[in-house]
Amino acid sequence: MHNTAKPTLSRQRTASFLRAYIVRYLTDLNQHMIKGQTYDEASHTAHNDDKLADLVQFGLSRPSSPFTGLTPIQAKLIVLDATGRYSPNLRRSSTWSDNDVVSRQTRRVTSAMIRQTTDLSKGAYEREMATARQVVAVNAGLA
Amino acid sequence: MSMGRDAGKGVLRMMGSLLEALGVNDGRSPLPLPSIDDADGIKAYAVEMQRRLEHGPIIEDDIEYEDVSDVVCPHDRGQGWN
Repeated sequence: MHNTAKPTLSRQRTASFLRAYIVRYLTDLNQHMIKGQTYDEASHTAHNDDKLADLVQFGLSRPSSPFTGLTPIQAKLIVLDATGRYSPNLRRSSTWSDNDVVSRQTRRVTSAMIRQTTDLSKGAYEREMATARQVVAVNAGLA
Repeated sequence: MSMGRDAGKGVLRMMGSLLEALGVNDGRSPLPLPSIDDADGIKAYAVEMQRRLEHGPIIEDDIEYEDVSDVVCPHDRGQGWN
């Protein structure tokens, strides 16, 4: 039966899922590496290219991840939205202020994600976000 | 198939950056990322991030706050707190 329910997922809960997922990713990675596995083996990922098409989507797509199944653009949008510093109407503006204690690496990563989403129209943005939230909600068992 | 080492470094950097962007540091100094080959370093990084996560800001999901907008503090009345 086709599920027509439209689960929703708040920004805060998405951020909570993301933080927990990433810390678990790092912890699992370490536990496998101390058993002597290489990063390739320990990361439980399979890819045959040094130039990954999309690091964000790839990193969030481990089996059992609530973020698996997102497209590259959806993965970026949902991460940016979860930061609470991203507005689709201000996509070309600075994400961080000078007072934020954030590394240059993080500033670069978020700026790059914003640049890669600026081509979306408002309607496309809303559709992609709605789909992304539904995917995560279903994966997380909320729908 | 395996993921290339350079791509692995990229994923690790990206993960650390996302944690920062999601507010895990909560005003604390950013941690330097461990090397891709440094299992101990990755463990220490994960442990510290877990600690920061547990002591980080309260997730305000589903919390209703009392409306205190009409509460006037003594300072506003010119009386000070003491």
